[in-house]
This record gives sequence, structure tokens and C-alpha cells, in this order.
Amino acid sequence: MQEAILKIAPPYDEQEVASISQCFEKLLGKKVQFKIIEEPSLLGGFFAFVDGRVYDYSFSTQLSELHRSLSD
Amino acid sequence: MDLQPVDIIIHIINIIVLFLLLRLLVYKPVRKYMLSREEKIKNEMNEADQYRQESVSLKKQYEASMTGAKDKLSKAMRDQQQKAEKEAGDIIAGAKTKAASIEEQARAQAEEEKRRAVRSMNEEITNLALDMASKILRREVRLEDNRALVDDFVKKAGENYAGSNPENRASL
Repeated sequence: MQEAILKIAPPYDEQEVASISQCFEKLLGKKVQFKIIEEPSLLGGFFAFVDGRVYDYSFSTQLSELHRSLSD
Repeated sequence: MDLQPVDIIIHIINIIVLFLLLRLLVYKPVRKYMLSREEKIKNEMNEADQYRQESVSLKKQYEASMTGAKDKLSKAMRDQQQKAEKEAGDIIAGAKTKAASIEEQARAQAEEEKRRAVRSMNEEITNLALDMASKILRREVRLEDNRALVDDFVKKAGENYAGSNPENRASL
């Protein structure tokens, strides 16, 4: 069982979490047990930390990247 | 008064004796006096001559030194003039270069300030825009939006998505 962390922005539901876990299982080829943490600061989407890898799919990151590219 | 021939002869003899007497008594000293006077006059004449020559040569010397002095003076004044002009020129040139460099500095500073102002304005606008965006997102994100994000992820993951390592948090 692969221990992993999933930070997710509310509102979300079980179906979302299920499809994320399914997807990672397909990706990594092993069952993944997510520790779910609700993280409103993500503003949207999720942030997964699995197997030493970061899967950042959140609005907050995209906003900060936008900020960085705009202020260069 | 009746003049007898004898009287006349006596008179003449008297005169001659007187003359001889006088000549004897007076002639030497008078001659001596006359000679010495002549001598004195000659000396004085010589002296006068000498003085005159001396004064002429003195005058020449004086004139020569005067012209020399005048030349020296005018040369000194010319040198002084040239020196003053040169110094004035240097001062003006120095002032000009200084003015130019001050102007250049001012221009560069103004340029820099303008750039800084523009940059900080951009910064402010970006921050403002992003603050607004995050506020809106905080309020507006619905379940469907999150679900859409997940679906997108699943779709992309299907296309063999390899997660990034922790340092490089690149988004999908």
C-alpha cells in the first residue's frame, strides 16, 4: 500500500477523490491510500504528494505562476 | 695852468716810472693770478666736459636700462596676460565638462526613476489583479469546477502524465 497525501480544495466529493486515486493507481501500477487534507488555500483543484513526486493541479499555483510571469 | 715842455717830459717820465714800478710790483702777481685763473678755468672746463660726458653716458645707461625695464615689464605683463587667459580657459573648460557630467547624471537618474516607477506600477497592478482573481475564485469555485479539474487531470494522466519531482512544482 502506497502512503500518499492528497490536499484538495473544497467543495469536493467522494467521487472526485475516487477518480483521483484510480488514476494514480493506473499511473503507478499499485494501490494508493490517500490521506485527505482539505486545503481551501488551493482555491481549486488538488495537490498530491505521491511516491516522492508532487502533482500540483491547483488554482493557487497557477495564479502564482501567472504572477511570476507577469512581473518578470 | 700853463704846460711847459719840461712839465710834459716829467709827466712822461713819471708815467714810465710808474708803469715800470707797477710792472715790477704788479706784473708777476697779476701774471701769476692770470695764469692760475687760466689754469683754473681750463680745469673747470675739463671738469665740465668730463661731467657732461659722464652725464651723457649716464643718460644713455639710464635710457638703456629704462628700455630694458620697459621690455621686461611688457614681457611680464604679456606672460601674465597669457597665463590668466589660459587659466580662464581651463576653468571654463572644467566648468563645461562638469556641467555636462551633471546633466548626464541627472538624465540617467530621471531615466532610472521612470523605469522604477513603471516597474512598481506593473507590480502593483499584477498584485491587485491576482488578489481579485483569488478572491473571486475563493467565492465562485463550485463542485463542478473542481470536478472538471480532476477530469482534466485524469484525462492528461491517461496520456502518460509523469508527476514532477518535489523541487520543480510545475503545474499540469
